[in-house]
Amino acid sequence: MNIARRAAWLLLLACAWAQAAELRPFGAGDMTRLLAERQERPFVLTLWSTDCPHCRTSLRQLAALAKAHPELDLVVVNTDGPDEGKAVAAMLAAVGFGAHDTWVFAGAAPERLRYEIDRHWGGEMPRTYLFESDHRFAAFSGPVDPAALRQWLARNSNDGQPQDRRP
Amino acid sequence: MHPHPQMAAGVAFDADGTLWRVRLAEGRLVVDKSVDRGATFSAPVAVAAPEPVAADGELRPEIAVVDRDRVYVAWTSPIPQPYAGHIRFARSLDGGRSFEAPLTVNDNPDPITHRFQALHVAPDGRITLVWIDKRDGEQAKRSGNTYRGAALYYAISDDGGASFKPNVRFSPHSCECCRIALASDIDGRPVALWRHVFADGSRDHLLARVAPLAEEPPRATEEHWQINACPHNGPALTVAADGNRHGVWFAQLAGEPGLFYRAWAPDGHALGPAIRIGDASAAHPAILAVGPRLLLAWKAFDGEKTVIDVIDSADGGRRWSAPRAVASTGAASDHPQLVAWHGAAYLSWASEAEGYRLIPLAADQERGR
Repeated sequence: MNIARRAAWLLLLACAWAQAAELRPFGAGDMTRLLAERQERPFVLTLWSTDCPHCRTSLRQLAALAKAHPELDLVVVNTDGPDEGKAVAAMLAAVGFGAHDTWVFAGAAPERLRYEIDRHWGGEMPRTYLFESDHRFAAFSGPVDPAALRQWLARNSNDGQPQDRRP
Repeated sequence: MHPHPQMAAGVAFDADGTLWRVRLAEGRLVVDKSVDRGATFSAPVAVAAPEPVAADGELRPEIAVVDRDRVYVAWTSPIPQPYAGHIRFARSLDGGRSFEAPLTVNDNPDPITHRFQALHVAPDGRITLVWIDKRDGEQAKRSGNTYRGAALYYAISDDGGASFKPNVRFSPHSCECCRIALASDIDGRPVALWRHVFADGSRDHLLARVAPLAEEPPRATEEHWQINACPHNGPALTVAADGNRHGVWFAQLAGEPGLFYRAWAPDGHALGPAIRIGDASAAHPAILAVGPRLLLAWKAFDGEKTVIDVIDSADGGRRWSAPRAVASTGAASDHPQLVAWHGAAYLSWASEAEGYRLIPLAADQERGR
């Protein structure tokens, strides 16, 4: 994206930006670190791009989920690159994300980062992974299948009961 | 958009074998040319006053040169609204020394999706621009209806790019976020291969000459990839001298992503099943018929490097050589392009660390492995 478009986004969504969570650079080796930090813990990883109309729908779905399940460990990774930081933060705030673990691809070829995350992922977006505590996962291109999400929540949420039946 | 600097370049040879290039340099759309096969380039000439330009791998500025002096440039200019932009065109009539003021080709001025332009210039001089357009979807939304995907629109210029005729709907329900592949049919008219959103939610491809489609043609590709997402991974197409169409595209089959190749007869019926090309990392292909040869290039990742692999076929795509890596990089890179002049084929590729490269793909080397 270019300077003018970024500037316009910034102007349009300055308020949203001010409330947005800090973006961390997601570089080579970060997927391994991310997994190591979550040993024996379930979590959700989602990847998205500002250029992808389907991503906004998916982010809204996950933001609602996070609101219903504050204990949920949700890792949000944007693939646009550090130049897009402001647009990324603005979009996250606009869809209702609070202070979550939010990252942006940086410092390595996107092909490498995709390979480290999942070599069976073709780069389509949104892409979401439901990780079990043993780090086996189910992957979704596009919105997460609501039934799969309910089952994952039933297994992995604190009280064992899904609270949100309309993810 | 895609990560890292916007390094995607559009290239074309002119009749003399000069390589012309359009790209973003310091935020401006510029044209330069090389008479030494990409080793050195002339001083860049700005195409237009500064404006936003999309120049990543899937959505790049394009260039065509006709009669040595006429240089045509097309690009998508994004606007602040998400996924929105305008289709822009500018021409030079003095061999690229100066450009006339650009035209906006989409005649729907709304701040909505008009992007992923694809430029074609026929031997008789007709210019065709095809792009992804959401005007029908927005209209449906205003009427309280939903609309599957976006649509393909096109516009034609029969006066050498001085003006474009009114926009025409080519095909409804296209994918929103994959480039359109155009190639010249044997009569010089454009043929397109593009990702479509079928009523069952799958995103396979359609193949057709550029003209209003009365009804949905049969699927040209048949992975039945069910995906409600943005593949950001458009097809490539070429037409051989016998009129057969050769396409390569990205899809997912049995949970495994990758590239597929297939040929079709001039009437559109498939000449065989699709075959897998490369491994699960294969993506962003290019394909080109060069005389009796077919060349196919794509991007792969070997665990350490991004590699451009090339294969070729001497028998119309029935048998292919083993892949050979012709270039690699450890950093971010453009998608590969194939260009040819007088039977000599080249890979055109830009990477962040190495810069722009034009790499000859000699036939004897291709036989090597």
